Formats: sequence, structure tokens, C-alpha cells
Amino acid sequence: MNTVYIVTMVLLGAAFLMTTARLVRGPSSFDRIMSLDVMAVLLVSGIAVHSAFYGEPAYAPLLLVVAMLGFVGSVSAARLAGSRGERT
Amino acid sequence: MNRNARRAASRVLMGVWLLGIWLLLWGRIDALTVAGGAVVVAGAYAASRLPAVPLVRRIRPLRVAAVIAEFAWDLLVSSVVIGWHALYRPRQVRSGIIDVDMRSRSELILLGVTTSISLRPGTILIDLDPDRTVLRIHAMPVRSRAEADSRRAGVATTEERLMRAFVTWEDAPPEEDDR
Amino acid sequence: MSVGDVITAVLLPVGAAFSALGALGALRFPDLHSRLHAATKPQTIGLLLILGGVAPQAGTVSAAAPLLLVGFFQLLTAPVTAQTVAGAAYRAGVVDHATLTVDESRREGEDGPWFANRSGEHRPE
Repeated sequence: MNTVYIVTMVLLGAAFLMTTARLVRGPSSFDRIMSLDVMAVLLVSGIAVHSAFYGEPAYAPLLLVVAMLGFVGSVSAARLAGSRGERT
Repeated sequence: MNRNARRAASRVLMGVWLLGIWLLLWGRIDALTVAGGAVVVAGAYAASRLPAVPLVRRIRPLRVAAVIAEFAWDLLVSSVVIGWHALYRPRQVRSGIIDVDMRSRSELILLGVTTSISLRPGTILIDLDPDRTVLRIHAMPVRSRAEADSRRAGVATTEERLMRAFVTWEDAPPEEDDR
Repeated sequence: MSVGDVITAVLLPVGAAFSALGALGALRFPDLHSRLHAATKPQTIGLLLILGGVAPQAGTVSAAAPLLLVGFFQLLTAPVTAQTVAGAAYRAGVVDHATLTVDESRREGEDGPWFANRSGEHRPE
């Protein structure tokens, strides 16, 4: 089971790094918003996996909060970037 | 069933649904959480004046199950397609902006189709015309006009499946409408 | 190893692999909208598979219930995020025409997005 944990976490970590690269590289603000949204989802996945192996049931509400924050944040940021008529 | 009865029925359904989410959130079912949830749902209704959900005329459960199953399968297949393109020559991937005409006049079907488009890999809704009859989607990969047409046909199929699963008041034949 | 452990051992790496492939696509695809396809959708499937893999480890049904809620919430919000970002970018003109083989928004008598000049304005009833 330990191997499963390591493999999963390495894959998620790689995904997080690649998303960070996209966040840094941009080029448009929409790319950055997208990256942040993906990071929130990856964070939820990571916490869920961790809680499965280390048995922390209190993490469940945390998952919901992170997911909710990611969603509200990206949608409002996208609306803001769109309304400013961003062209990059 | 007249309009008021339908509205009340949809309120009750929505309330039960919200209560269900509340119970999931707590992760347990006992007298206290149910009672507390009922209070919260009633309070939320009073505070937000949630609109009555337009009730569908008829739901065909088997067809709904078929819609969900086919959707899950599409989701998996197209994820693999996008994943493959991410590995193999991602720079050469080409896409298309496609307009799709909607047949249904129902907001519910519209919501179902747009959700399904934006949730499955390979298509995203990017625009909607003022009359809400044409969806503009971005699809990937699209290498030719023939592929664009097959994508358009795919959306039409999704709409058709949804219309068969949920018979709505807007799309029902007028003579059956007792409003 | 119980049945639940087998489910976990299969679903977790597969879900994480979907997430990683999506992130790879988000890094490598040439234009914003293609990156959006790769970023948002495989993430959703990855998360759903991971939640499915975590659930057998939760022990009790009531401990697994919030996971169901998280998955449901993701299914509900992912399309909204995707089409908000994609639509806002399209209307702002962030579209790479070099990567399009078909563009039906460029027909005669029509010009650009429908929403371009009436953002935030509601359709008259």
C-alpha cells in the first residue's frame, strides 16, 4: 500500500509542478486563472489521498472548503479579466 | 396538475434535495441533524427566495440511466484522447470553433447540454447567441471540416438523448399541455 | 489485502495519472483553449477516480459521505469554471487563429462574439 501512496503522490506532485510552470509562463491572465483552478483541484486530490492513508476524517470539510474557494476564485477572476477586455 | 401545485411540488423536491446535501455534509443521519437541516433549508428558502425549479413533464428513469452511462463512457474515452495528444506532438494539435443549433426550447435541456459539453474533454462552450438557440463551442482535436461536422452531430445526439430522458413542458406537444 | 484495498490500489494511481496527463497537456498545448480542455476535464476525472479510491479507506459509510459531496461539487463546478474562463477569453479576443482549422464565427455578415458588446447586460425578456 505504501507503493500506491508514493506513486500517486509523485504523479500528483508532477502535475502540480507542471501546472506551476504554466502559471509562471502565462502568457495570458486566463492561463494563470486556469492554472490556479487546477492547483486547487490537485490540492483536493492530494489531501484526499493523504487522509486515506493516514486516517484523518477531519480532512473532509477541508476538501469542500478548498474546492469551493478554488471555484469561486477562478470564476470571479475570469469574469474580472474578461470585463477588463484583456488582450495578451 | 395546475401551475400552483406544480410549483409547490418543485419546492418540496428542491427542499428534499437541499436536505440531502445537508445530511451528506454532516455525514450522519439522526433526529437532530434532520431537524436542524429542515430549519436551515426553510431559512435559506425565506432568505434567498429560491425560484421554483421548472418541473419536467415526465422523467424516463431508464433513459436517464442511459444518459449517465453514455456520458461517463464519453468522459473516459475523450480523456484518453486528450491525454494521448498531450503526449504525442502536442504542438500540432488543431481545434475548431463550431456553431451548433439547438432543437429544444427548454432551459433545463439547455443546461444539461452545456454542462455536458463543458464537462467532457474536447469541447467547451464559449458563446451563446442572444436567443439561446445556437451554441458556439470550441472543440479539440478538429483537423477537418468533416471532423467539425461529426462533433456537431455529437452535441445533437447528446441533446436528443436528454430530450428523450426528460420530457419538458416547453418541448411537449401543445395539445398535451394543460397549463 | 481486502477488496477495498484493491480498489484503492487501482483507482488512486489511475486517477493521479489522469491528473498528470491533464497537467502535461496544460503545459504543452499551443493555445489557451486547448490548454483549457486539457487542464479542466482530466482533472475532474482524476479527482473522481481518486475520491472513489479513497472511499473504501474511510471505514464507515458516514465518513465516506463527504467524499461523495466533494465529487458531486466538482462535477457541478468544473463546467462552470471551464466555460466562464473559455468564454471570457473568447470574448476578450484571446483566440489563436493559427491553431483553428474551422471557425464558424467568421461568416459573412457576422463579426466576432455575440456577447462582445453587451457584457453584463441581460437579455430582454
